[in-house]
Amino acid sequence: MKRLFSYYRQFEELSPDELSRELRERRSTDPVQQPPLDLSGGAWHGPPHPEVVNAATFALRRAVNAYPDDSALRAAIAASHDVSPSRVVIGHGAGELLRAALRAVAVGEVEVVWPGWGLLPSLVTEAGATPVPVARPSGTRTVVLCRPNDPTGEVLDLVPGAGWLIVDEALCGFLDDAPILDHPRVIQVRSFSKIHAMAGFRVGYAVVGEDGPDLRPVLGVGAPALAGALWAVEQGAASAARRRALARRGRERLAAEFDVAPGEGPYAWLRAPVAEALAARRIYVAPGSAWGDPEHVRVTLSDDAATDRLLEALRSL
Amino acid sequence: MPRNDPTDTGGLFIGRRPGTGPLHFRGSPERGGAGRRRADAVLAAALLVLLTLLCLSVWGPQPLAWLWIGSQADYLLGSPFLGIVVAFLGILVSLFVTLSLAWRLDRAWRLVRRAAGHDQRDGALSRIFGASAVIALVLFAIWFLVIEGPAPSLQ
Repeated sequence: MKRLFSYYRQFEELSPDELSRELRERRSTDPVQQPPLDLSGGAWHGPPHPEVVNAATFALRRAVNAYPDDSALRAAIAASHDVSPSRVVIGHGAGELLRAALRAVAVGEVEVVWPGWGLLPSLVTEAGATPVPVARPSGTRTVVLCRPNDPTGEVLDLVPGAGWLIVDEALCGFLDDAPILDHPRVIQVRSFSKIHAMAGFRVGYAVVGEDGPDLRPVLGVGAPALAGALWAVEQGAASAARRRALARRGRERLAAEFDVAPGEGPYAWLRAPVAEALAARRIYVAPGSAWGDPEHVRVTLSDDAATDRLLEALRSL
Repeated sequence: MPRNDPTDTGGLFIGRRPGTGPLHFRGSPERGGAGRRRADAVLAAALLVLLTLLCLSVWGPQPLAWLWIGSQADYLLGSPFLGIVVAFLGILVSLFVTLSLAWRLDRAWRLVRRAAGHDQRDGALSRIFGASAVIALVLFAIWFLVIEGPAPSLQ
């Protein structure tokens, strides 16, 4: 009789509470059951400030039948850097502005400080020049570099040389101070994608010298992106400071236990070939092999919970 | 950080509709062979019949039995009030006992149905209890209006 009852008891379902408890336990103990944590991307992990979205939405509800006017944003950016608005160019993100800058000035051999932003060599090639990877600019040729560097976070000094100096400053919002150089052959390209979490808006700007090359996109950038960027320039300092502090905290926590290259920005260049091992725990980082350095990985710094999980996984390796 | 992503539902509305997920057992049940499943199907049908009879008993036999017991109490104790109290409390107690028994029977029916190979999620008690009430009401109406007649019997 006991066997008969136990036969039927095996068909008893778990109650919702028991089921939730069991799933939670399974998820917490089994790394494969944990949700994936993507720390390999280039964008900021959180949304932009709600007012950025509000500004863009407001712009969408106005006269979008007209071509956008970027003069207000250019004036605001120029005022924030204390430069003339004629030196400011608004474009579809830093990538497009870099492409335009290289097309405008790159000839012959162009030095690319490496490791650097992954698309730089191909942009140089596309512009008809030959990329030459260097650790430091020689000062004799046109050079393109990232400041802070992606992926290492290194902050190089900007010293104009004989050629053009094209600076990808997409990450400069994570620096306390990022001055604009007043030099006729310097092009500084900046982005709203990282520090203002606006990668989806595709808007950035470049500051060129007086009478510098024309980098403007044909008919400009969309009105919602301009409106969001204008709010970010005029009132986004506080939220930018929060993101800066969060990135620094994550970097410091990682650097306290592991070999992280000193630097700034939303990426940590970690000396440990752990991309595959972390992927087995559903944590994805960018392997250094993408930059020709398999001994490193690039970790995109995220919130405290993500850093906790990453640290725990790294300790267990 | 404020969240303003309209597709971010905070975890709500993700996945399947409630009640449509698979049944989760404690382990992986070892099912019997085809003969065992046929026997379980017959047993499940028998349990369902038993459950139906039990539910029907709530509407007729049990109240009648307690009315008879109440009348006996009235006769033995010489108090109509005590007779009514005994019948009333008896009906209530037996109703709860019957429902408790029916709930266990319904649970057993679900297990046996699953053992017979059906994806049986819910029990049948609520439907059978409701149906038995309707049946009892119809039978009572037939007895009251047709058999006995609306007028009082003075025989």
